[in-house]
Amino acid sequence: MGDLLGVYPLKDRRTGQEVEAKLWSAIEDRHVEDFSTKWKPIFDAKVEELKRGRLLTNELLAEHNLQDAHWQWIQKIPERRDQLSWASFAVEAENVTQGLMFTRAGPDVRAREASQRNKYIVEVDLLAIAPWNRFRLVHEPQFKGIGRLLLAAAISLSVSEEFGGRIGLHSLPQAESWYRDVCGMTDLGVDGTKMRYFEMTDAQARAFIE
Amino acid sequence: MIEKRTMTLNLSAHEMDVIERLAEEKGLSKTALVRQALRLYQSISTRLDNGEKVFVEHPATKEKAELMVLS
Repeated sequence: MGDLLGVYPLKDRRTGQEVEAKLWSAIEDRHVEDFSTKWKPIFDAKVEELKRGRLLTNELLAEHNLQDAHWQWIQKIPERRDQLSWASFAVEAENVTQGLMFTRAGPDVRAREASQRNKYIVEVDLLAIAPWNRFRLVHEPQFKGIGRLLLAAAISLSVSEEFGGRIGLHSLPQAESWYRDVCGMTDLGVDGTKMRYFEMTDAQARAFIE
Repeated sequence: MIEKRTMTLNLSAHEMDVIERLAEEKGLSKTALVRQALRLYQSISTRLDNGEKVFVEHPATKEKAELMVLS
């Protein structure tokens, strides 16, 4: 059993009520099971539907908030479980996994933004929310605030590692505006990975948490 | 909260000087510095155990030297 980091309120958009969300470190077998049996079938069915009669493009996947559908959570979790550089987190509500995240830290994980260049950061490697919580994928997404809770967990890890809350990540195109406009991260442009790289300074992290 | 455990580390004066200097340079406490060092050590050890080789490269000459870690 992993560590329960805290219990937080999460708004159910369908009922307007608040429910309790549990934030866990690390991702456990039950979370993998939920991904395999509850998330993946929805991703797979929607991808198959989109493929019918047309070319499946990255833009089409972004339009339906599905650009991460190919992420290999099931393979990565056991590979990374014992590695100190990796940390993993899961959010549960109503006894179902609602969000998953991997972060990485180590001497090679450094900031790029000018005001904090070369300082240590926590890198958010993968962050995903359950398909039924996604706009553009379902008509009425259920829980609000899971991505925000996971990002706050990454900031909290950065603080506890004495990195001041600094974090960095590569964003899928479908999430760029969320990281930039909602989370207030600095957009450092597209890099060698062909993805847009964002960073949060310690001041931005404080503003995000407050 | 993630459970933390405490250990006592016995170091020579020289080792303690090095750890204090590195912690100062990196802006970290000694605990945070050791955590970073442990991540690096585990990462390199895992790669070597998997049969991979770890190299360091001179920035100008591009000369590579294999990093040897005593197991």
